Amino acid sequence: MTPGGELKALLGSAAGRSAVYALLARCFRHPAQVEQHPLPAPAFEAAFEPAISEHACSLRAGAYWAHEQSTLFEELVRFYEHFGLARAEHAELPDHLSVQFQFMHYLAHLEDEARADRAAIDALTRAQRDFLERQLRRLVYAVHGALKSGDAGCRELVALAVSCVDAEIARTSRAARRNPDIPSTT
Amino acid sequence: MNVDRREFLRRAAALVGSLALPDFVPPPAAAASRARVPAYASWADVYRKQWSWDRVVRSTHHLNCWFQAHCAWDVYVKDGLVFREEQAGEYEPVNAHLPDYNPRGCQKGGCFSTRMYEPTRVTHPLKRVGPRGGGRWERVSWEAALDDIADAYLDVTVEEGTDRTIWDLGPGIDLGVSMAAQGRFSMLTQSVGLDMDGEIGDSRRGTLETFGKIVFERSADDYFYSDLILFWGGNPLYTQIPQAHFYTEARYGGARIISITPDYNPSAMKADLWIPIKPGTDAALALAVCREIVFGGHVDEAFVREQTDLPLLVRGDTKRYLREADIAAGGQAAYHVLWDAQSGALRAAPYRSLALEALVPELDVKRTVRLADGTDVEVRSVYSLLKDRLAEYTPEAAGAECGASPALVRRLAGEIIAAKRLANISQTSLCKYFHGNLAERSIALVFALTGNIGRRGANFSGFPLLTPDGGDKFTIPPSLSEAAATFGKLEPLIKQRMAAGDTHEMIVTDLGRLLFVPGNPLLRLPVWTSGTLFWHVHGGIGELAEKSESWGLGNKRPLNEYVEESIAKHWQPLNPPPDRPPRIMISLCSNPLRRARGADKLLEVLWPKLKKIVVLDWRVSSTGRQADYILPVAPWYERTSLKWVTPLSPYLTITNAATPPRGESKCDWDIIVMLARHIQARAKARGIGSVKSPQGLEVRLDTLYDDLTMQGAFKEGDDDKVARTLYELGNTHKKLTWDELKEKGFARFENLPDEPSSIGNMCEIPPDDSIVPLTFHVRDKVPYPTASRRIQFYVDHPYYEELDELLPRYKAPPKIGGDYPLVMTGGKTRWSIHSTWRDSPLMLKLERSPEPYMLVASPDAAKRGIADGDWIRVRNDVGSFATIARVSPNLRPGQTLMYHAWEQFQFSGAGDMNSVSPTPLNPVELAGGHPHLTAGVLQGQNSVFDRDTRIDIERLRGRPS
Ligand code: SF4
Repeated sequence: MTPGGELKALLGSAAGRSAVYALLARCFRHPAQVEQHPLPAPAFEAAFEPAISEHACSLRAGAYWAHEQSTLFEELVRFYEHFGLARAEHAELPDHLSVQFQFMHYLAHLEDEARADRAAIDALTRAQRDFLERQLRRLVYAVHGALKSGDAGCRELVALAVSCVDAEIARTSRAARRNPDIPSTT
Repeated sequence: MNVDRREFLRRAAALVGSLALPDFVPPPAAAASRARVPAYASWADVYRKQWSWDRVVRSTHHLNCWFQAHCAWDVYVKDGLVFREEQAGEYEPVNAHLPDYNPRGCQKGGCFSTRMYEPTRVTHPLKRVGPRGGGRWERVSWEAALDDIADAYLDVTVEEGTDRTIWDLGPGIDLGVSMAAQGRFSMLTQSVGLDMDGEIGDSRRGTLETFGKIVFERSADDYFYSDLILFWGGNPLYTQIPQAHFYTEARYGGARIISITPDYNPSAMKADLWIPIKPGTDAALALAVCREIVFGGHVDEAFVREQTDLPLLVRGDTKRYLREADIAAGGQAAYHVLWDAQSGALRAAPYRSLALEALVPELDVKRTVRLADGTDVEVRSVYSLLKDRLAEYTPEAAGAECGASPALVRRLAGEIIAAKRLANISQTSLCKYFHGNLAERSIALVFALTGNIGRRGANFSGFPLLTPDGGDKFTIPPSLSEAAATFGKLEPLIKQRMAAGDTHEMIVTDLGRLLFVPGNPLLRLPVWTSGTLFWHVHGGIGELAEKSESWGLGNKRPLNEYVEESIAKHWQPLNPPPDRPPRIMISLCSNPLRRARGADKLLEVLWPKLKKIVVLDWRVSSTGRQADYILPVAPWYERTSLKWVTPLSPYLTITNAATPPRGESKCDWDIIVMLARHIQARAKARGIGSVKSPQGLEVRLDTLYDDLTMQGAFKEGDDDKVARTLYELGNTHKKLTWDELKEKGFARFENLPDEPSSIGNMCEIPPDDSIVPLTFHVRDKVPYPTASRRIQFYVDHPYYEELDELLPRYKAPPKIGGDYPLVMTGGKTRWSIHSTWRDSPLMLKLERSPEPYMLVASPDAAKRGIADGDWIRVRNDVGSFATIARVSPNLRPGQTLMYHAWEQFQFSGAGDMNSVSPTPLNPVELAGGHPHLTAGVLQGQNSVFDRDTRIDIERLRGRPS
């Protein structure tokens, strides 16, 4: 199977999706915070740490947000709180790409656990679609557009994130079309 | 693992079934997953629950907001994050007549919650990788960073001396918790702090020359009592945003506002009359007004006789004041002499008090007197000399210099003469002109001649500062229990001086001056030195002045001769001395590469001398970019501190830690204490005990942490405890406990701080009325801390004689940087406080241009074919830079203006706005060996001058690469 096909297969189950999001969340944390990070710290910092590198793109949605920061934080925190997640003491900021992937990892994990509970799965599918469309898609595309690093690993990582988010948006939208109870996101 | 898709998929597959949420606290694991899935129909559901805050904390922003410091804010916290801030708006009315202080704040403070979370915030210690300035960094642990810095410090201190470590103390220093740590470190190690007041251009030299001090200012509500307010050299709509309303409100009470500035700036727009003058010609205008007052017979003679040196006599032969010792055997050399009209004889001027008692000093004196040795000399009163000088400043002559019409000069004089309560505003603009001292002296003369000093609503503005006075008691003694014994050593000296007629203010001011005398025999103190002189000599800025002889500075000798003489005679402090290059620089609340005029030279000359450059900051500033380490500092909502304010808003306003510091950030206190811990540990490990300072003081390195923390009484993490202790040690606030203050966020000063940076206000701080500085002099007749003990317009120092500045006068602005047609002026920006918000995307949106720009007067732009928005090159003999031209109808032809604080990295191409500012020293500021022209805390040192910088501009084809 091609890597593209394998990814599709993995995203075909809630457990697989949860694992993919978990790994993306790990990959977008600073290498010092993660064992066996795929990227060396200097490459990661040069690509994604604007405090350190003038040419880095930010992994924070706030960097691409044209409105008041608190409105962005509020929506994110509301999403997280709605699903019972509170912010950990030394957490990244709520708009960080890694945090957003963690949230998706959690929703997919709940979905996997919910198994036969149709109502729960519907709710989680709607939430995933909304979060993807309202937050995550905007952020991964912004990062993709702002990425200046020539490091192949960084570029591949961002490309992977875009592919996953695209695939997930397609999946959740299909689910919405199949299930008219899932209202439009806008 | 590499990032290829197959490997990614393999790793992802291994994570199936796991749950890892390092940034979240998930609901209890015991809860069934079903119960964990709430109802969710659409995104709108997440908005149904009412939003609530975990807590609301009072805090503020402890940077150098200068005249506007500080404002109490409610800081809204949820999930350990600050979401927003809101003005506290709880300042109680002072009395029924005065407008209150609500609401205080500015747009920068109003978006600090955004600024502190911007992606450029530094949250981990960073170590340079590759060459300095190469832009490559790595995150390192605190342990690794501090061990490395400690080892470098020990190497330098043991091998080269204690004075090779420099604390670059920026304008953001708090004189509170951060400085408690730095002060103790410096006191124990005799490392050197740079006094930056002159170096940032805030010297207020002319005020020092005239009043013997620079610190005195009213509360902003006092303007409500004024009937004429002069916006002379200032733009309070930009620089005093939280209290600008007092000016406009004063107009409801009938006050008139006159703005005297070259440009029609936003404050001038609020004035009743705008007097446009050429940049740097203020002294000519002021002296013309003085002439109208004197020759028109409008002098407040009672005030002038008692409070000023105008009746004092000056010898014609020596050009020095006549002293009692000159005229009588056994007379006092310290006593000045006047001619008493009552007795018709020479009399010693009152010494212990300004009260004249039975004396009636004659003002206009010109006579021959016999000295004790039998010689006859001509003596003249300062007033008589002054009349001669003023005679040449006719409105016509002055108008020709300053550009105002004679009618306008007369009108200004008329309005001033008619005013019963005349006020001007805080400014540190005039002292950024090379001859700004003369402008300040001349303007002060307007106020003195009309008696508009030390009365409610009537005052000359000095340098505003109010500092809580617990700091010295914490910083200087070995421990708090030894404070009484430590300061007790000063008692005999204090008693002796008081008995000899010195005032409390003079003694406190002189104790501050001891900071500049390392190893002084009285008290072990932190060491300070002149920041300007340090950059000039060690930093190489002096090299920029090599062409200064063609700039029309009016010096009688090469500048270096003055510098060398001043240093050799210890007139001005320079530590370490020129032959001992600095080796380590630690920047605290500072950004000298952004700020220092001619900063390129620092990189070229100073940087190679430095073995370690450490910047404490929460962002990578221009200086941070050229450092070896950036240590992440917690900004103001993440730490507790107290800080100086100004009498304009006399409320001690504290920062409260609303949330824990982000990432691995720490407050300055913690960082300095941790550095001491690492130095102590490394000293012990390396078998280093103590070294001697160049003056012979023992510096213990193996107990530095123990000594700094008072044997562990104040350790890392104790910033709140230190703030509480500083507050409780002080005498300025007794009504609120520390805990009550933390709750409320601010507290009005109750007493005048008894410390060198505030004592100069010399007034009560009434709970129910405005603050009137200098009251103790004017009402209570306490002498001023000048050589003559009066407001002094005659400065009898050799440098002043050599440069013809014995009396106030006008000198034409020099052409600093070369003979170019345009003058580059500046001012504080509205959209940042220094550089703190200068690259804030939010504030840049409000700027006329989101990158450095120069305002160019319309005719000058037209003459050069420059259109609004064009790229231009700015150049003169010392450098050049590129910027965007903004064509402005508000500027005077020949004037250009760049608001300050653009970071070096915001400029395109080589150079920045400081590249054209060589800022040569003014020799009169090198004076010393004189009772009140001696370096002290924030005063009496060299300053910088960028307002007379001459330039030309040319259009570029586009943005330079
Ligand atoms: S930045 Fe300064 S002036 Fe502005 S709100 Fe904060 S404390 Fe007040």
